[in-house]
Amino acid sequence: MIQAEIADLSKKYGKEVVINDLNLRINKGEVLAVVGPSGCGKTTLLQIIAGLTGAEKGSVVLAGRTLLSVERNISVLPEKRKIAMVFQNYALWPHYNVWQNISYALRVRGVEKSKCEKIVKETMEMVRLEGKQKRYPHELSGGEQQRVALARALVIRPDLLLFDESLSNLDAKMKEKMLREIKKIQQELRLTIVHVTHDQHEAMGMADRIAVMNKGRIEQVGVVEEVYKYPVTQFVAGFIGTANFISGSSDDITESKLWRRAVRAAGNENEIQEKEKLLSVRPEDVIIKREKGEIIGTVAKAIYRGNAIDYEIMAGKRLLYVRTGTRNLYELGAEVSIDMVRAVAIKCN
Amino acid sequence: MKLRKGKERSQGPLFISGPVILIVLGLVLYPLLMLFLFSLGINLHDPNITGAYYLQALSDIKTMVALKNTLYVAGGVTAVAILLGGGLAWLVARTDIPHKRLIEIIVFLTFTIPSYILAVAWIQLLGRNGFINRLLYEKWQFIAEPLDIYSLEGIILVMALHSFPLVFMALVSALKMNDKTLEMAARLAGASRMKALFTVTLPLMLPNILSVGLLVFQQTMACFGVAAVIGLPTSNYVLTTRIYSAMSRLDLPSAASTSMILLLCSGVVFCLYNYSLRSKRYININSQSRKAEPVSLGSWKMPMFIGVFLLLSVTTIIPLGSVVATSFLKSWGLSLRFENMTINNYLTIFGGQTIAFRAFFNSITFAFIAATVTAIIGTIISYLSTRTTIKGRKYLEFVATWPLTVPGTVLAVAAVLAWINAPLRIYGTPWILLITYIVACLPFGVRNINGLLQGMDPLLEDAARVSGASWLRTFKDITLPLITPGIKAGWITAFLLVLREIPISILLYSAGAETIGVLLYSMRSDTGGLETVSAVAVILIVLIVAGNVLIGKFGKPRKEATNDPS
Ligand SMILES: Nc1ncnc2c1ncn2[C@@H]1O[C@H](COP(=O)(O)OP(=O)(O)OP(=O)(O)O)[C@@H](O)[C@H]1O
Ligand SMILES: [Mg+2]
Repeated sequence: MIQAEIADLSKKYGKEVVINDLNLRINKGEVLAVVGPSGCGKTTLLQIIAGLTGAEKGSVVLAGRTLLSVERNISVLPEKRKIAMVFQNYALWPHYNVWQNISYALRVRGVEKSKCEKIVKETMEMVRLEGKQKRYPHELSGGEQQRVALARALVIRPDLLLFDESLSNLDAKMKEKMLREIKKIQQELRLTIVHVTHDQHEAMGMADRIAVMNKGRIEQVGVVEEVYKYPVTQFVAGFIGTANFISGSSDDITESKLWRRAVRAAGNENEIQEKEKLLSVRPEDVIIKREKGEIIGTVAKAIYRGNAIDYEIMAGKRLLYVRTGTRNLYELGAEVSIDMVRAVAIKCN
Repeated sequence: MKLRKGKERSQGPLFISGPVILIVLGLVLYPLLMLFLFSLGINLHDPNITGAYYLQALSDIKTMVALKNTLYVAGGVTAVAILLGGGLAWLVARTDIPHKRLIEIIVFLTFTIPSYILAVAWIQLLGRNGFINRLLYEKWQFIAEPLDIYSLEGIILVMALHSFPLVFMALVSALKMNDKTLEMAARLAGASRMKALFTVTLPLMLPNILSVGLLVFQQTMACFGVAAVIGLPTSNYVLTTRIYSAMSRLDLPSAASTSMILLLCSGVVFCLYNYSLRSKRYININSQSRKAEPVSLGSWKMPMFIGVFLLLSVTTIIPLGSVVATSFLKSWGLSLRFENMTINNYLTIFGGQTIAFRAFFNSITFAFIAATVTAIIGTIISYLSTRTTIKGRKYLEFVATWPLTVPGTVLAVAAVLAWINAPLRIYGTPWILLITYIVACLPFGVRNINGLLQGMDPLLEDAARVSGASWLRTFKDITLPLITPGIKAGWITAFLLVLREIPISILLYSAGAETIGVLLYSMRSDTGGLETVSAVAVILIVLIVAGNVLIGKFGKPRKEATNDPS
């Protein structure tokens, strides 16, 4: 079931197009991660959804209600949208204590006092903030501030919950933990979440589906595994994980050999024969061996990752990224033969 | 701030921007425009008057002398204030001189004394009949000639003593922020302490010194009270007093053209000052660097402190003491004995039907209204300029802060020209006074609030909107509480400014609407009033100190220097 639908959305700042004919559907009860490089328009997208900024074109529908339709001149005020948002720097109100911060949305809505207290208490337990109601934001640790921001968003049980890089201020361990907690709360309350981040690991940590955004457009949406395994564009392949791009239009001998090998690895050769196509090969799909082979490279760099080793292999005039297990070690300068087991054809951009 | 399209989202206060724009344009821009046109010889109301007043003014040797005097005084004040304030700042910020806090407090106290009152105090001390001359010249015959305060140098002395705290406070905070590791590096490279001071610290401080120097220069040019009380008796004119005397001769053309000359000078210096503020930012790179060892004064520690204390006694404690003492004297000139003491001077002020009482009552009323109006308009302008996308909002802010560069004397002349003709004739009524006070205060309202709004994350307001609060509710719950300190500071600053304002008051008051400034000024020459003036001064100083304590600025370096309006 679709909870929210964003259609043909466009937004300009002056002459600069920030959101470019963007379409996105968000399913009820899912966590959709929106990832993209800095400046691609993620925050702007969330702001349009929340009603904090307008758009030039398009519509936003949430739970069957049209929140924004430029064509029909509809724009629901942000306070009437039943959308909650957790901001990157939390945006806690410094002159309110924790209880006041969290209860604000209820107080503004005129929720009756005893009911309000009950909900706030429940929510504070949920995010494990018990006993902190009297503290002011500056008396809290970063993690606690994060929880207050989360609780503040949760009290109204929003139709849609927006996270804007909300975890990026936490250290890796803490982030991991928060991700798990949020996921648990999300499942408990059956929340629909749009989680914006530029950190793909953070995105993968919580998301059911992932949307890759670039230059104001969504380039690909899908479950995490699918997007990783079958990227449709060069941008997606390069942004989610690491990829070796191999093109068929090079005159270089090694490059042509790599191309022919990759085409075979990709399977359906007929389709890929067009020269403008590009193939993407994940580092773990490149196999290196000491035995002599058709394609030869030398080890240029090796980084030990604990459970894997990342190599950079000089093959002809280019570098190949390769990830192997820790069984076989190759010293710098060693000659290796290169093979590939999997490749996908992508659109270049 | 995220750009928002008006039609898509309620921007709240847009409906209010119309009246505010009108008020700002009408109160600030219109009088200055009238002044400008009039000085060119263009009179909208009376087309018969034409002529190049500038030529008259520029060819008038007296105007030229006044201009020269103005620059001389401003230059002298700047130099003395920098030497005095800078030296003290270095001692406090970088050496182990004892009782730093005490020094800071005394210096700040100096700052709170209105310059006009400082001048009166110094006249008490240095006039022909003053304490010092009585001691040095008459009693001990220490000097051949009695010292003469009634000179340009006298003005320089008083204004420098009034201004050096500004330099001190600016440089202390700059020195404390300055990256001390640079100095240490110089020492490690083999420079002696003094060498490090002159080759590293001083050059690094130069932009700060320059900018506070420009501020002092501009404020001295704009100063009227001191120049009047010290310069007028011996016909030592500066531009402000020259404008004043032209106004009292009802020579509007001369007043207008001289005003334009002063406005131009002051404007140029103020622009330089603003520019220097903007361009020096990169200097203090590393403010978190470790605290450097303070320079040890060794055996000089105590003598140095005693020297500083003596100096501050001369600049602050003695004049202040003299004012306080005089305020309790039955009559000026009596010796300080118990039987000569009285509290009648205070009683007259609070005692009902006297001029002094009326002046206090009027000033406090004006100050209250002006401060409140300023706070409201300032809040709206700041909000429009930082939180909306209305076209021209930055111009609005610029116009509203413009009066900062306009000396009070010039504001008064402009007000006369603007409000003297029907149907806008309010000249001769208390309204013109009130309006001009508001204009003079407006920059402080805007700047104090603007700073806070700019520093306040707009996401805080967005968060409230998303939480379900309407625009108005958001403003009330989130924005207003967070900018209240700025509103409070702006209000108090404006209030105090009106209380001690002199040139606008004396040029625009009408019978019945006398203010403290009028009272102070009218009593300057006849020594008979000196006791009452002193009592008024003491009350003023108490109010100013209290106000600054309320703003929480007492003894702390301030970001925004207040114009001393006297
Ligand atoms: N108020 C504004 N006025 C003008 N341009 C803006 C404004 N806000 C954002 N932009 C521009 O819109 C583009 C998208 O900005 P946005 O904040 O949506 O990026 P983002 O994807 O959230 O980036 P990040 O990951 O760095 O937060 C940027 O190029 C930015 O410069
Ligand atoms: Mg962003």
